[in-house]
Amino acid sequence: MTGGDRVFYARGMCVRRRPIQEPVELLVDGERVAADRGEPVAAALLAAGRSLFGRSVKYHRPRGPLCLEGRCDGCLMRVDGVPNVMSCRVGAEDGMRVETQNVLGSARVDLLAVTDWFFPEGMDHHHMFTRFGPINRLMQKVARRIAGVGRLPDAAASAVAPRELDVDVLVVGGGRSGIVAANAAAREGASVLLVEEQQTFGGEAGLLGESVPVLGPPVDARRGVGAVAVYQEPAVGFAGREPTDEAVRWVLLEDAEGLLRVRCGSLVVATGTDPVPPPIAGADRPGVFSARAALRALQWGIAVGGRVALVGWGAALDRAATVLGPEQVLGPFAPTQVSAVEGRPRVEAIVVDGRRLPCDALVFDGVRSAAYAVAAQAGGEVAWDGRGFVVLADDDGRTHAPGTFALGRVTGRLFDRARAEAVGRCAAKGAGLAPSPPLVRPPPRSAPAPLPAQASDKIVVCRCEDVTLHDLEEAVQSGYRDIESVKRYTGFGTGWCQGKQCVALCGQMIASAGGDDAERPFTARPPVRPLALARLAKLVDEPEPR
Amino acid sequence: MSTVVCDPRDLPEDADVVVVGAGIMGLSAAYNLALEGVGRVVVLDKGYLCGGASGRNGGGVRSQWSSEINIRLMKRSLAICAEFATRMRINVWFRRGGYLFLARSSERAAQLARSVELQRAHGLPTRLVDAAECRRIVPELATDAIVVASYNPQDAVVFPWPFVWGYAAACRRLGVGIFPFTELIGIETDGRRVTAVATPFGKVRTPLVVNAAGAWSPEVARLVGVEMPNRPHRHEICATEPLKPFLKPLVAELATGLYFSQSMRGELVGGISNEQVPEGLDQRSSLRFLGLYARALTGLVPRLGHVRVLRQWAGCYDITPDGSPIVGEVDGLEGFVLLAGFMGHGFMMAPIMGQLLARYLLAGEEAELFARWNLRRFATGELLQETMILG
Ligand SMILES: Cc1cc2nc3c(=O)[nH]c(=O)nc-3n(C[C@H](O)[C@H](O)[C@H](O)COP(=O)(O)OP(=O)(O)OC[C@H]3O[C@@H](n4cnc5c(N)ncnc54)[C@H](O)[C@@H]3O)c2cc1C
Ligand code: FES
Repeated sequence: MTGGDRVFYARGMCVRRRPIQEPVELLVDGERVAADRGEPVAAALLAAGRSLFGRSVKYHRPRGPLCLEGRCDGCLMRVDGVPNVMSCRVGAEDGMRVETQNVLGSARVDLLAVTDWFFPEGMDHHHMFTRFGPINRLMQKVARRIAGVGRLPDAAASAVAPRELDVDVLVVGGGRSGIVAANAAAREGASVLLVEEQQTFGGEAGLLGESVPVLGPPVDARRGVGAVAVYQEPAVGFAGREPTDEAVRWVLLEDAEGLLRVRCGSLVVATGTDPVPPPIAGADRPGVFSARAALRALQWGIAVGGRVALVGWGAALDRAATVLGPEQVLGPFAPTQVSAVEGRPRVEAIVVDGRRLPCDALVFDGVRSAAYAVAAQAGGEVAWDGRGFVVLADDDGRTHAPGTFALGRVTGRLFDRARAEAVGRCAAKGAGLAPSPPLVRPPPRSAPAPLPAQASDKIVVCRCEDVTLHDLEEAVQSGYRDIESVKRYTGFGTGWCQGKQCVALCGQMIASAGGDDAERPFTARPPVRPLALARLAKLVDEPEPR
Repeated sequence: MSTVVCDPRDLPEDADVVVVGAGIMGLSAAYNLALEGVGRVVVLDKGYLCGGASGRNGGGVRSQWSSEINIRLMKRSLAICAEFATRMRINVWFRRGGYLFLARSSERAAQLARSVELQRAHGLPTRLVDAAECRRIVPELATDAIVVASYNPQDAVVFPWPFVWGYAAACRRLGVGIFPFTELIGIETDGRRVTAVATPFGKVRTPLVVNAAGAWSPEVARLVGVEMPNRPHRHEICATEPLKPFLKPLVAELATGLYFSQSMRGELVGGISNEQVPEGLDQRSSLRFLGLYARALTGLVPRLGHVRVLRQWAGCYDITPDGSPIVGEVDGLEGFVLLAGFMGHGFMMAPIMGQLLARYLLAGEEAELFARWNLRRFATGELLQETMILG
């Protein structure tokens, strides 16, 4: 099978809008699937009509990609013998082996999906089967057998030593504000490294088709490089580093080859936001995409659906509507109007004000969660600003952590070009600047939003761990009212994305269910995204005790 | 009232006992005191439940120890853990996968052999196993450097959080008041005995205070002028992405202090010693830890190289000069009782220690143990010895 005769095709409902340039073949669960060399594997699968990528952890509900930005768990697959690979982050190569995980049978007919049906109200895993010892032991045996997502990797990975780098200013996030700040810092004579996690610069503005500032030449700008953790500690036994007595800030970056251990004078965080899926019954199924995901897919030449329901608001949603084309879209509808998302398994209809509207995809936007993890790990303070958790920063971008700056959407505030340049200049002037108090405090939280009514299907509020709205309410009713306790009691925020998609929503829902107003999110624990052990194994080179 | 934890504004004015710290130790003590008939028990914690070491540990429970007393106590603790789910009506995911202790030098091997002998003398099924048998137990293990290992298939791992919730819920059923976000800020005495405790929400009059504040216990003791020699030391730990079950035992290696096990969710949970950690109440994560852990773990199980760390965190060990706990009354201050100094193994000690403390206070049982582990040994110089401590 070559690309030639099947350049434009629509199966499932995703549509390839660009012919395949360099045809290759993937082996997906043993079946051949056409792809364009180097395009994200997830894109190839969507274009081939496969939107069901796997099954969820607990209820084995059908799952598919949601963010296409490496932040959700929807696209995890086993690729060439490695489990839990984000298939939106790997380029297609000829003969690549791609496998569905966590199914008993096939992704389509997963026998374990009975758990979803068997526990329509959700499973109270704390208290179930605790009456009789033998039954409890049997349940635990079964639970262990079906736990986990991927199987152990087929083979060992060789350890990669980190690369070491020292710069004056490290800018994390290559959207508009990050670029402007980086350029301004470079103009002051500082050595500047700018990293962007995605494969394109420009962030939100780039996706919206707005103008993106040009990167000035002295800036070392790298795409496909993410900041994965920030630490404050002395260098003791660090391979390739002089030992230090004093604590130093280390920023760990990751690119396709491995890790970079960076020491920087100033850290500038311009990481933007993450879209938050709306709390609608059944909205965790395949075929639900963020507006940004829809726009990324379009950049890859793929329309996420043939008839797309829009839910929510915002510039990215409007842009998605325009680019998909008016005859392809329905809505936009307010999330509160939508009572259910139906389909078997992929989206087939949404129920709006009681009416069933057929569609084959749902694209949402609206509530955003600041991508605060990097700033928080650096010591910046994060607080609720009425809509979500944001990093507190003053007009010059200074946060509570000396030498750490934040600007752009991650702060929940507006930084125009002049302000963004000022942040860059400030960062270039150096570390050690104490924050200039008082930092702008977010306004107090408004009255909690009403809870959506329970529907016939589960309202999943944390996709990675299959936590439902009902679970949050139960935790609050047991007296676990604060966000740290509810996180532990329900497990929300402890999954693959470590809360990127769910913390803002759950923070709000806890308050709505009668729990505490969370002033700050739960602790942002490193790493920011999952990090392979082989890449960490050469960070330290002192002799190992025997 | 149906909630498990109480609102600080409902703090009572009087109590028969105030337990400081709602970690597993404090809750186990409160539960057992209430079970033995003590009427008004109040538990205070300055933070949320599971905020201390009890919510941050590896969940290992084992009876492989090198001292007679620890072997004897842990055996009893394991029995309580095994019944916990049905007795307390909450799943704690107790799993007897065994503990496999690896030795990579002849000194360590000799140390293991001595412990195994002692454990067998106490009726444990522990045995020494060679490299080939290690591979049968954990096929993914690289065994070239392993001299010998000790293996007790009866040792276990649990999920720590529900133990805390389970004790808390059972406490509530017995009428115990559990007050998170209620810090103890003062202890009042009449010069000879304890009379009350102070919190930001008011005072509670009480004749008996149990200091179960773990790594914070020296701070609590200092509020009433008592010096304790235990010190907090950060201990780090991490969890990987969830994998389908493949690993049966908790594997530990004494020289590096590496340990790892697979949780019921499928994550590999583990840690390693880090000699460079200064004393102090520090719960931050470090890059050095990740480096040490990843190197040791992938060295031992090369197939884990592609496996990813999902989350790392830290808690405090509560380190005593001789590795043994500090429990019982304090000479010269009636009504001030200590239940602390449990190093890095207080989780598995708590089920039995809570029981023993209650019976000791109410009926004078196990007086010899409480004399041996009393604070006064640091003044008299009768220190004790335990060598199978991890981390
Ligand atoms: C990373 C790690 C791994 C470990 N692994 C294991 C293991 O595998 N097996 C095992 O058995 N043990 C393990 N341990 C040790 C075990 O977790 C502890 O020994 C045990 O949890 C101690 O319980 P605790 O109740 O004494 O202390 P904690 O759980 O720390 O409770 C003390 C409580 O006191 C509260 N407090 C402090 N000051 C005040 C105050 N002024 N007023 C009110 N409240 C106060 C704190 O908030 C805290 O909640 C590990 C520990 C760590 C850190
Ligand atoms: S959605 Fe990823 S952890 Fe909650």
